[in-house]
Amino acid sequence: MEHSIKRPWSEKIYIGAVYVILIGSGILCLFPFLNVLAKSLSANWAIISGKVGLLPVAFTMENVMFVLRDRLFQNAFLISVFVTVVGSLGAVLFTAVSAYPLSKKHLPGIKFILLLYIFTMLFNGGLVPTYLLIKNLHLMDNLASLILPALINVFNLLLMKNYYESLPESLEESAKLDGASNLRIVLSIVIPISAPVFATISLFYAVYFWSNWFHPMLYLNDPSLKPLQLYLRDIILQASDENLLNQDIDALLNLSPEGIRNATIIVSTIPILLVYPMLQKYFIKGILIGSVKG
Amino acid sequence: MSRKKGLAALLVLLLSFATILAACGGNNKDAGGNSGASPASPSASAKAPESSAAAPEEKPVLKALRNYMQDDYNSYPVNQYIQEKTGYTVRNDMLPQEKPGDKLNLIMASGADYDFIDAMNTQDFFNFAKNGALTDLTPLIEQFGPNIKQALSPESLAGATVDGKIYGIPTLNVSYVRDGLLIRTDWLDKVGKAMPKTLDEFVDVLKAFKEQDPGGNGKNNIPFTIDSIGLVDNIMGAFGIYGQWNELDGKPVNVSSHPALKDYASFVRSLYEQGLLDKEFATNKSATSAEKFTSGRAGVIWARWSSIPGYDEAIKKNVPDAAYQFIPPMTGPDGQSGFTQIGGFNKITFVPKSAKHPEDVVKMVNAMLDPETFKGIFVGEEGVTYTLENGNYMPIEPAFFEQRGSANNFVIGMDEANFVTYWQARLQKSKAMFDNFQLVNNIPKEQIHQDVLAFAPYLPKYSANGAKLDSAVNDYLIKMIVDGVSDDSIASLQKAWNGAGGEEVAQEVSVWYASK
Repeated sequence: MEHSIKRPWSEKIYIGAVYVILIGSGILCLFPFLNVLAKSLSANWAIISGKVGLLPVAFTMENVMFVLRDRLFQNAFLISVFVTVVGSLGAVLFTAVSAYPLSKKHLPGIKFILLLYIFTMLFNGGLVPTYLLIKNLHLMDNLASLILPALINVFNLLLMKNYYESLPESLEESAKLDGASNLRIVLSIVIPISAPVFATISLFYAVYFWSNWFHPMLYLNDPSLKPLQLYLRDIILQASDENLLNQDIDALLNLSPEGIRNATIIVSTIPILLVYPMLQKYFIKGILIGSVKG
Repeated sequence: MSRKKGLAALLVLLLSFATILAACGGNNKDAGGNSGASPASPSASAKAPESSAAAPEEKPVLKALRNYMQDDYNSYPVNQYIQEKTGYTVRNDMLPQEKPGDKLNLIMASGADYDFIDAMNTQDFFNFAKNGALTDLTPLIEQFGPNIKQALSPESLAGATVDGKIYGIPTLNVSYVRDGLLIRTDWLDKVGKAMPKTLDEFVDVLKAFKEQDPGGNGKNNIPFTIDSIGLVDNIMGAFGIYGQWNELDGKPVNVSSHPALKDYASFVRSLYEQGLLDKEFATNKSATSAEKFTSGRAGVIWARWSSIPGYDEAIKKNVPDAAYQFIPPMTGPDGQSGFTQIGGFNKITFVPKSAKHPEDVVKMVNAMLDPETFKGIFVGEEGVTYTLENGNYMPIEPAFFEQRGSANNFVIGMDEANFVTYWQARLQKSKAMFDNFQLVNNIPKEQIHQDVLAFAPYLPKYSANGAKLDSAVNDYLIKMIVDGVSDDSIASLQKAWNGAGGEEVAQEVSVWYASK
């Protein structure tokens, strides 16, 4: 017995075309990545002479092994992981703790305090004053310079505040009637039911900390503190035409081969590539959080 | 139960976060204490009296800011070698590869605590010196620097002198011809032509490459490929053009107003029109042209000899019996020929005014310039990293490239009488590279033309606009080669060049040149 309604042919063709176009453009986006992947698994001579397309030529694991064994790469990788993990945990904590009282409109002066936060979102000192601030706090060449200033992102704070506001007030009232303290309400009620917003915000922060290269470039001069993104940027820019023109010859003689550059990109992309699909649903949810107020 | 767990988890999280932050802070204090930056920190005050009592002359750790290199300065063998030989431990920080000048200015403007800094862009150095941000090294070199005065020529030191005071220690670059035209000699044999000696012969060879297709590439055959450059070495030399700035009748003249510019551009244009020059050259990146040459599709390529090791491997894999070499200087219609030689200072090392140990920096540099120590820094130890063969320094692989491949980043000032000989060990990495280096560099003196601005002092307008001007010339030349050369197009190049501030720069350059 066929229960489903038969679709007219025209609609079937339409749906089919939509799928083909979407899959096609999806694959198109994948091409550059596959090319880099193929290069990272190819011999250097094949890359130089432009033989490598989507499949490796003269397959070799040498490039990838070289990158994995490279002490500087390992170090940069660990630094990035450290900054991302500690930074995201800290940032979520601080954001959550600041957003909660801001969602309680009946507190005296809370609007003014909120305005102070929003002010920093719209206006800031700019590059040089921020640099001087970090320097005078003696945070130069210290990983805290990457974490501390980013602990509260006002946009994320507002997201969280809106979410708290959307919680029904009666929930807390009933807990109060049962004799729960304020701390108890936060720990036993608010935090458990805020899991989605916590997941979203920590993803936002994690992506920020993982991909941040500008601040490390400014604040870290000690080569052993270099995070992965900065390391990657240096490696990739090495062979740019501008660099080839300006670098002195000894630097050019020490250029790392194309295969190793590509392998570095691949190896450093893999971790975030593994995390993304699992967190993607929170990402999509996150955009909607706080957008509709009940 | 689960509530308790949640509470416990939160507390643990809080605790771990606090601990980590505390640890970060602790590290910082300790680092500050070591370099003597924060005498208030307890670890420093505990250490200081102890060390001064035990060895009153203990050498301080010097904090340095270096140029970008891929390896880690602090764990590179040369750093340890310098410590052994001079007794000074150097803690190296590093500028980023991208726009190092911006970062350097930021660091200098906010008060640097570095003992010495390498400035890759010598114009930055002159800026700081003019602004009084640097320590005058003249008396220190007089007192502690006999080796410095021995190793560096007075001309070099004069290059780091501002208002009669030496503010830095310049490190010379090796002067060399860097670019040339690589030609497939097996193609030459196949079409029965000799190595071209004049531009006419060159055109003849390219035509033969196009018509006879010695590589068997069919429609993919490219007689001659270049990057998206307007000034092609060897060809421009045949017209008496040797780069952006040229000496004409004792005066520096920019290429935009060079009398032979039109002839040169017309010649390259004619190659393009006849299909001898790569049709896609205007959009070529260096990787694209390399691809065409190493896959065996191009007969001639504009290349730097430093690229040869990579090319060599690739082309031999693709075309096993391929042979190639640089074309020696070709003669133009007026009998001119030659190459541009690049040179000048690699960097200038200076001591900021706020530095705490200027005397020790000079002492260390002096020790590094002891001839034997310098050799050890630059090429290492005989039998370990190099061997001597008929006066040539031959690297021992891989020890040489692992331990001394980046040594040039560590040297401060060169043993100017010897460093070029030592340096050539690097070229022996690949025989093809070494041979081709010799081909374009061992040519008669009159065919080598030193870059006019190689040793220029601080030229503020040039330093502000130089790069912009160079690219204006390049862009307009490429446009002419593709669209056609006429008096109008030459005039519009000159107009664009003037519009980018060219006139003022030209004046500045000629005032300096006249006073030289």
